[in-house]
Parts: sequence; structure tokens; C-alpha cells
Amino acid sequence: MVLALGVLIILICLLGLFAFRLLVDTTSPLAVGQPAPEFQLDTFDGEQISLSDLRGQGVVVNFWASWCGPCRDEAALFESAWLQEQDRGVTFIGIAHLDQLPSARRFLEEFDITYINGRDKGSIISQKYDLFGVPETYFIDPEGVLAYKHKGVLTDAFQLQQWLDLIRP
Amino acid sequence: MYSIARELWCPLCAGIRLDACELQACVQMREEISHLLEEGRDKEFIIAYFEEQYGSQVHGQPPFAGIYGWAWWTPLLLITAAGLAIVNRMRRASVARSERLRGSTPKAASGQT
Repeated sequence: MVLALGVLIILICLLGLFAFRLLVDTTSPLAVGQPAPEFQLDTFDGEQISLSDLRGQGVVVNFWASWCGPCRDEAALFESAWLQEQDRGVTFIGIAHLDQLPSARRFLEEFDITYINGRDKGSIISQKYDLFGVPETYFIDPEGVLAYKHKGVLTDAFQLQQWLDLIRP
Repeated sequence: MYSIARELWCPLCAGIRLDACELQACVQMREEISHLLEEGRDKEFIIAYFEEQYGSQVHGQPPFAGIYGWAWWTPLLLITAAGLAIVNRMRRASVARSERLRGSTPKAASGQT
């Protein structure tokens, strides 16, 4: 009787833990107006960068992959926007999602991408950002708050400028 | 290569093994397995490497650490508890039987009904 009660209590505790976990997952999605999750990225140049290092600047975080067709469609726009914005206090960060080093490097060379890029090792950053797929782009203001998130391909330069306006210092 | 890919899961699709997935991402991952095999890496290394690079979801097994570890410990706990319950019940039944036997033997010996 005591043993059965013990097992029942353990089961109830486990169910409670799982329910708590589910509740946490569903009630805390990354929302506009919330602080953007901190991350560290090992760049393809062998350096490590943290989002918090860029406090005071606007940050555009773009998740992409070499195997992703729509990512190819938006790559040139992001590079040209970066060239325009780098002196206006906005930093671009590219994060290769579920990608291999040689393929990712070929992609960057193909589109002459010059802004910071690295690979999301262990899919840790994409989990923090609750990534649905690629491409996805996050616009983070100088205080580290998420100003806008765009799911899907972004090829409209006018739209991009509107969102950049939200994050310029 | 395919025998290793069969033990891994597509990180983008639900419930599709890496050897069967036709997404370009998985085609590239299979190529990566081939390259690692050419370098002389064994299956254990490749699976651990994939888990490190792409996350634990590619292995299709929950990690031991954190809340996901309960996926491993819960069945063990339940099996242990069930085993203990069975042993306990058998022990009680055995004690009850011997008590019944002890209680009935003198009556039988003395010819009482």
C-alpha cells in the first residue's frame, strides 16, 4: 500500500514537471518588445561574438542555410543593406542553421557576404530564438530589445528599410 | 554510409530518418557522413559529431541531463517499483500461507473438524 502510494506520488510529480515544461514552452515565445535572447556565435573568421557585445547598436540577425533556396534570393539584399548601414550603427549577423562548414563558406563566397557570419553549433541559438525555419530575420534595437521579426524570405528593400528604421541608434 | 544515416533523424522533418529524407539539408548531411567515413571516422564518432553540430534531435534520443533525462529514468523507476511490489506481494502471500498452514496443522493432527 505504501509502495503503491509512493509510485503514485512519483508519477504525479513527473506529470507536474512535464506539464510545467509544456506551459513554459507555450507561454514564453520570443515576442516583439521583449529582450532578444543572448547568444554567443563562433564566426567563420575564428572569432567569438556575443549579442551583448553589440549593445548600443542596432542588430540584424539573419538565419540562413546553404541548402535553402529562398536564402539565396535575399542574400544580395542583405549584403547591400549591410554596406549602407555599417556606418549608421547597425550590425548584421548571419547565422548558418543546420549547415556544413564547406557549403556555408561556398555560399558566403558566392554572394560576397562581408558581414559577421557563423554556424549555429548544436542548434543552440535557433532553439533560443524558437526558429521555425530559414530564412528568418530578427531586428534588435540598441537596447537589446526585439523590434521586429520576419519569418520567410525578405527581398523587398523598402520593407527592409522600414524595419532598419526601428533599430538605428 | 546509409547504415549510419539510418540511425540519425532529419532535424527538419518529424519522424523521418536521415537516410530516407530527400531534403537538400539531409542530402548534404549524408555527404558529410561519407566524407567523415573517408577520413576513417567510425560510427560512434560520427553520431557524436552530428549530435554536437546539429543538436540532440538528430540522434532521436533524449539527453540524459535535465528534464529530458526523466524519459530515461521514468521507465526504470516504474520497472523497479513494479518489481518491488511483486516481491512484496509474494512475500506477504508466502507469510499468509505459512500462517494458515501453522494454524491448520494442529487441528488436522488432533482430528478436529
